[in-house]
Amino acid sequence: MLLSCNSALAVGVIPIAKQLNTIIFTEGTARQITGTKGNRYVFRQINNAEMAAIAMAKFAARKLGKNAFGMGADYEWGHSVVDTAEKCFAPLGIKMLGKIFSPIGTVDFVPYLSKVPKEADFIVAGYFTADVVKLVNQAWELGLRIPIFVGTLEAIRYKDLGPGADLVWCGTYGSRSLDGYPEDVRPFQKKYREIVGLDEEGWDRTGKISADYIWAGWEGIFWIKKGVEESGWNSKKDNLKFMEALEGAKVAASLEFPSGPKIMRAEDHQVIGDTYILKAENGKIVTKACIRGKEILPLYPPNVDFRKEKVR
Amino acid sequence: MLNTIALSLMNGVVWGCILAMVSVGLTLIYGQLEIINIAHGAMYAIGAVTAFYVSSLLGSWAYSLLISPLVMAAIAIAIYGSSLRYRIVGYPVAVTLIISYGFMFILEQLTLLIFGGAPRCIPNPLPYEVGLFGGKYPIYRIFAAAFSLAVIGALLAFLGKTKLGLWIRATNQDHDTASAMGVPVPTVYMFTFILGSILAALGGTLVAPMTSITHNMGAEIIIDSFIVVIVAGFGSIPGTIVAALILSLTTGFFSVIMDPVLAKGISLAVMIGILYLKPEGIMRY
Repeated sequence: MLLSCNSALAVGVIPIAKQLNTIIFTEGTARQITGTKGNRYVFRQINNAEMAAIAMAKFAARKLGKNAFGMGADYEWGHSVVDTAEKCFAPLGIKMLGKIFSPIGTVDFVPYLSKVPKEADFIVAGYFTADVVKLVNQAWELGLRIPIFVGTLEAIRYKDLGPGADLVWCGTYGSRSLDGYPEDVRPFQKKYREIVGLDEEGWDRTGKISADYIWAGWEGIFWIKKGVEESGWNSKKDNLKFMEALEGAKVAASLEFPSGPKIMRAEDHQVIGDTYILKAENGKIVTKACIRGKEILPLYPPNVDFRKEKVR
Repeated sequence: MLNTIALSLMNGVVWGCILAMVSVGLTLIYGQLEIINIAHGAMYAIGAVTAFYVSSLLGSWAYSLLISPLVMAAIAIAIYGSSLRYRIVGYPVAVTLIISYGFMFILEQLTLLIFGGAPRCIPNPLPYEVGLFGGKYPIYRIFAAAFSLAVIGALLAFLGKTKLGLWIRATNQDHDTASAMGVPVPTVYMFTFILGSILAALGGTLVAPMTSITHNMGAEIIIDSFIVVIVAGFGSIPGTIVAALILSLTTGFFSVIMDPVLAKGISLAVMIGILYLKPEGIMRY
């Protein structure tokens, strides 16, 4: 089964997947989906929030200051972004001055933004889509002129970030623009975009779907294909063979995996791929850095080993 | 600290006024037609979406204050003419709920089809701030609150001073007698439905520059609107204003000293307390 990018959905489905002896692939990026809340039936074909936080902490946060304030949507992924950022910041001497969480779909962030201390150098925000747009615009209206590091800019245009757009950074799992991809990946990403109808700036022809994230659905299908072909999977009786075929599997950048080379880590079924630092700048969402998967790998050890689980 | 208190209370007043205007539309429709309009939130979203397109195409959000009501009036006429005019008034509440629920889905999905799922933003038409005890508060929000109050004031004047307003009040009190006295009751029903819908759309239009615009943003306000209408007393416009301000100010006040989510919980507890003491509502019409 291929799930959506909703972490809360994934957390809910994970125990049922084991119960029903059904393998699932999820794009939800909350840390614990391939951690303490996961099991051997779960595979994640995209990097997770902690890996984005590592990238954010290591490569961008140092430029932003020593004091952060965490804000996030009050569910699995929002907490994951803020909590993993705090964990990654600590060794670098970056202090999280406080954290506050709001319901998804909060209309007015003013009561939450009023709690950002004056000493904060930047905000780490675990929000997505509409909430990011509201947060960034309302922060500007309240006179907050500090950078905001968000967990995703999926489906958000530079223009909609308002006058505070150039303060927005993002640690995420794909480049919005084609030229943000490394040279070894770019030809495959270009071909993939032609097939699915995305332009080089990262939008589809209707202007309603952006490129940041949706490659995970494409690659999920090909991970399943790889597992089926290499294990000879025919029915649920072959689930263990399927899992073993993918545990530790490596893929190169290709049309099937257009976001770049990856390892499906054996212990936690977490893909280790490239992570990107994006920034809203001068009218566009630009890619400031690509942190290759092999650089993230030693910084992100697994905290579980699903191979110890029995599979029926 | 003083800035935080002032900010939270001012914010409570602003949202209270906007919520009051939207809720007045809901209470008008219920008070008159006995229709629980679940589609009210979708109408609010359409007001915001219309404001987006007006702002994008004409270069100024201000035109949407005229255009959004016209667009919503057309949609309301279509909804009323296609179903509600067939003597829904007097039908069991469940029937009107289901019909309006259906229209909510239709309106939301049509909005999604046209507008798309990505959030959009309108530039602030009044991009200035006013000083507030050492902090800043956006002037546009103060304008939005004042405009909402002006609309409610105009509505009260209309209901109290015009012939059509008199017909609306008469029909609300006793539609059979009003009909016998020559009041065109079906026309009054349609007009009231349009008026209530326009108030929802105006709410969305005013809120559009303050927040992000999405096809399903109606869900953000519809629940609070229903709470306000019930606590106010069905059909009571003054009660609606009071209830909306109590809800928003309580949330704003307690947000200063605790997590805003808990503050919202306390404000809802206050609403429950009011209903417990006055089950008929604050000022039942």
